[in-house]
Amino acid sequence: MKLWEYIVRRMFLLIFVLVGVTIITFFLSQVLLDPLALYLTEKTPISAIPSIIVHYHLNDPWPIRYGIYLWNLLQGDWGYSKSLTEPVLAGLSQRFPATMELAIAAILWTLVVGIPTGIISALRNNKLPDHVSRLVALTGVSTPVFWLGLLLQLVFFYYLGQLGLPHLPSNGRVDSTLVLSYPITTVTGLLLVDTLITGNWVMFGDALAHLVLPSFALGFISMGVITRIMRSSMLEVLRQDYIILARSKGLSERVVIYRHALKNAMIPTVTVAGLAIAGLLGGAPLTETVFGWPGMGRLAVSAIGRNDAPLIMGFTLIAALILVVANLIVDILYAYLDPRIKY
Amino acid sequence: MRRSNWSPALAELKFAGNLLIQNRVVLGGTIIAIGVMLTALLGPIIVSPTVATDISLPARLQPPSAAHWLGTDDYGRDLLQMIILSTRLDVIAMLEIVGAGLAIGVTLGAFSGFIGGTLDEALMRITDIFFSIPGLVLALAVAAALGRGLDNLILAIIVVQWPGYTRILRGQVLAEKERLYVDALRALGIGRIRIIVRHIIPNTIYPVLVQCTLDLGGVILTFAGLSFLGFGASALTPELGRLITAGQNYIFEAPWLTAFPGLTILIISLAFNLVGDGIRDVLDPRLRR
Amino acid sequence: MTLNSEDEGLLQLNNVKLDFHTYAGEVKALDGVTFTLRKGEAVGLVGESGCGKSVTALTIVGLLPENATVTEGEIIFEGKNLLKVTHDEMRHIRARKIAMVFQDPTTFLNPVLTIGEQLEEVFLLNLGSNDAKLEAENTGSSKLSKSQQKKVARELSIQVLKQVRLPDSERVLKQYPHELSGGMRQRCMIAMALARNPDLFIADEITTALDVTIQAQILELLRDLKREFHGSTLLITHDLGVVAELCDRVAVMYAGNIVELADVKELFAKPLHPYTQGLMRAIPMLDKRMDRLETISGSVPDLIYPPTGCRFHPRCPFVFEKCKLMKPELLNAGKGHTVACHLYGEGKK
Repeated sequence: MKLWEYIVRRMFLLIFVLVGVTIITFFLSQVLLDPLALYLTEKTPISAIPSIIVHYHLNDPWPIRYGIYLWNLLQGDWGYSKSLTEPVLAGLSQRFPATMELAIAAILWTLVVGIPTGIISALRNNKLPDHVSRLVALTGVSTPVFWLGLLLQLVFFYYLGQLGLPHLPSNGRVDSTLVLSYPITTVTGLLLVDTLITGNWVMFGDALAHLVLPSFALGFISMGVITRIMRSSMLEVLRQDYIILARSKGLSERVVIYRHALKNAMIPTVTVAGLAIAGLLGGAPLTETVFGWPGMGRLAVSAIGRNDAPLIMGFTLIAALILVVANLIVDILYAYLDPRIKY
Repeated sequence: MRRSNWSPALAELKFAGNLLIQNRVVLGGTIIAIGVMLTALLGPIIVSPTVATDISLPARLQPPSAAHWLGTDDYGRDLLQMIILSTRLDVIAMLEIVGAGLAIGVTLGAFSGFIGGTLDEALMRITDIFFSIPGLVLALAVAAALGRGLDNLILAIIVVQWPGYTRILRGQVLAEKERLYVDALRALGIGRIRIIVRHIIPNTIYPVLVQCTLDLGGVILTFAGLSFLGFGASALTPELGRLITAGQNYIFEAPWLTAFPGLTILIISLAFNLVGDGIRDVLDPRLRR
Repeated sequence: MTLNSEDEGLLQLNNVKLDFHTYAGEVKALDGVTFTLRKGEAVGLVGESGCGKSVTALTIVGLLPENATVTEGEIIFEGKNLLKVTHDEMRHIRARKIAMVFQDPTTFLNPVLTIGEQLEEVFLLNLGSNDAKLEAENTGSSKLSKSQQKKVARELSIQVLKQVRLPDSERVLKQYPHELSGGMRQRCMIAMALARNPDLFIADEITTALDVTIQAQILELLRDLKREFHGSTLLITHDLGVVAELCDRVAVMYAGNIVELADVKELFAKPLHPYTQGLMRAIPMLDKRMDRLETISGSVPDLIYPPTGCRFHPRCPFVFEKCKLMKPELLNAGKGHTVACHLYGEGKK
C-alpha cells in the first residue's frame, strides 16, 4: 500500500473518530446539561418557552437532535457563546493562532532540550550527567504546569524586576502600550512570524520575550517525557547486535551513534510524541490562564465560570481535531522512519 | 550462598528487593510515597480538623517562622496544617480515580478481549474516540457538564482514565486466551465468565498495575490542575490545587502560599512516579512473555 | 607447556583468561585460551554452546560487553598485542585487517539502513584514508572527492555482492534487510567482511541461524571463496561436518579451554581428548535443539563455580585423581597435534 493510500485510509478513521467526539460533546452539552438554558435569558417571558422548545427541536428524540447538532457543526454553526456574545466558532478561531504559537514554541523547547539530553544521558549512562538529567526529567513529569508557571513569573518577572535586572514579562502576548507605537500587521496570527516578515523588530523582540516563560512552562512536562524515552530507547538500541556489527567494521563511535543508533532510537520516541502533544493541549488551558495568554484554552476556562457550555464543547472539538491531525502526522513520520512497517 | 537453596518465590522477592535497594532513588521515592500515604491517613489526627476554620486575622500572611513552619495564609491559618489536611483529600481522590478506572478498564478489557467479535471491535473504536481528546480537556468538558463538586471532578477524571487500562488489558488478554490452558478449561466445561475472572485477569493484570502506579503521579496533577481552575471541592475545603488558587492572589507578597502547596503536589507526584518506575523495572523482564 | 611454534603466526593467543561480572557471580568464561593461527590457513574452533568460542572471537576484535574483563594473557596479531592497543589502532585493525561475520543475520543488520548504505560505508571508510589497499588497487593513490568516493563505493559494493553470488546486486543495494531472506542477509554480511579484504576473517557460527538448505548454500559459497581468499580464517562452529569441509586445522574447546588442537585429518582419524572422542561418537550434526549429548554423560559445568583441575573431569570416562587436582596443559603429541589431558601426561615430543 502506498503512502497516499494509507493517508486516505487514515482520513476515514479520522472522520469517524471526530464524529464520535461530537457524540460525546452532544451528550455532555445536550443530555447532561439542559439545552433550554442556552436559549433563555432573564428577559425571556415564560410564555415564549414552548415555542422555543418547538423551534429548536428540544423535545425531539435524541437521534434527531443529534442529527441537527451534527449538521449545524458541519455548517460552521457551533452555537452561540453567551459570554462572548458572538458565535463560538468565530471566538475560537480568533484565538486559535495564539494557542498554536504557544504550543509550537513548547514543542520546540521539548525537541531542542529533550532529545539531546536524552542522548547524552544514554551515552554517559550511570555517570553524573545521566543521574542529573534523569532526576530533572522525572521532576519534569511530576511538576504541576500551573504552579511552574506561577513560580517562573515570580522569579523571572518579579524578583528580577525587584533586583533591577532585565526581566521577562509575565502577562499577555505583547506589551499593550508598546504595540500602539509599533502596530503589528496580522498575516498568520503567529506574532513571531508576522513581525518577522514585516520587519517589525521591536515587536518581534517583545513578542519573543512574552513567549519564553509560558512556552517553557507548557513544554516542561513534555521535555521530561521526551528525555526519558530518548534515553531509554537509546540505551536499548545501543545493546542491539547491529551496533556490534557496526563497531566491528571499524567505524568511529560518532558514526555508530549518529548513523546507526539514533535513527533506530527515534522510532519509540516518535510514537510517544502523540501522547506528548495531548499533554500540551491539556496544559494549554492552565498555562494560558496563569500567563493571561489570549488563547483558546483561557477562553474555555473563562467559559466555565459563566456556564457557557457551547464554548467549552467547541474547545473540546478543536482540541480533538488538533490532536487527531497531529497523531496522523506522527504516524506518517513513524512510517517514514521505520522501513519495516507495512501500511 | 547457593542459589539452589532458595525457593522460587523467595528468590523472586529477593531479586526484587535487591533491585529496589540498589536503586536508591527508587527506594527514596518509595519511602516518600509511604510517608505521603501516612500523612493522608493520619492527617485529621495529627492536625486539628478544624484548622480550616481557625481564622485568625492578625496572623495572616506571615512568612515561615518557628511558630508557623510554612507561614500563614490570608486567613491566618497555619499553612503546614492546611497542607497536611489537603494531602488527604488529594491522595484519596487519586486512589479513587485510579482504582475506579482500573476496575472499569479491567472488566471491559477482559470481557471484550476474551469474547471478541463485534463487541470487541465496537469497544476499541470507542476507546479510539476517547483517546482523541486530550486528557485534561476531556476532564474539563465532563466536569463542566456534570457541575461543581468533588465527586463530579473525580468522575470526570475516571472517564479519562478507563480507556487506557481497557486497551492494555485487552491486549494482554488477546495473547493470553491463545494459551493452551484456556482450551483445557473450556474442554472441562468451565464457563467463560469463570475463566475470565479466575484465570485470565490474574495472569494479565501486571502490565495494567504497572501503568496504574505510573498514572498515580499524573492523575494528581490533573486533579490539582482542575481544582486550581475551580472544579472539585468547594473553595473552603482544603485541597492543594485550591490553596494555589488562593495563593496566587498574593504571589508576590507571600510566595510561600503558592510555593509550598505546589511543592507538595510535586513531591507526591514524584514519589509515585518513582515507585511506578521501580515496579516497572522489577516486573518488566517478566512481562516479555 | 604452551605451544612452541617456530613459524610466525598471524594471530597468537597466549593464555587468555576472561571473566564476566554478573549479578549471580563471576563467570570464568575463558580459562587460559592458547592457540596460533598461521597466514593463509583456515582454523576451525569447535565446541558446544557456551564453551567460549564466540567469546574468544569477540575478545580478539575487542567487542566484549562492558562487564567482561580480560584478566590474563595476550593476543598477538601482526606483532601487536591487541589487548593493549589504543582504541584508534583497534578501529583501524577492524576496518582493514580483521573482519568478523556474526551468527544471526536478522539481528546483526541495521533495520533502518539499506544494504547499500551498510555496505558502502565499509568502502567509504577505507577510501577516506590514505593508505587504502582498495584505493591503490582500483583508482591509484590519488585522493578522491566525496562524490567520486560514493561512486567508487557503489561500484565496489556491486562487485562484492556478485562475489557472494547475490543475484541482481543493484536492486539488493536499495533494499532493507527485512526485505531479504535469511540466506541473502548472511551473504550481505559476508560481503561486508570481504569488502575490507582482511588478513583475518572470523566467522562466528554463520550457518547456525539458517535452514539446512540455506546452510548448504552458504557452505558452498565459503568453499568457493576459500579458493579466492588469501587471508586466514577462524571458523567458529559446533558442526564438525563444516570443519571437515573447510578447515586445515581444528581447535576443540571445552568450558573455556582449548583441549585439543590438530590438523583436520589427524583429528578425525585419531581424536585424543576424551571430549573430542565423545563428540566424534555423537551424531555429527550437533544441533542446538538437542539438550544434551547422548554419549557424554553429565552437563556443561557452571562457570561461576567451575570444576577444579581439569574442567572436563566430572564427565570424563577416564578420570583419575590427578584430573581433579591439576589443570592439564597443552602437550605436544606429535605431528602438530596437541592435547590438554593427563592421559597423555607422559607423552613426549
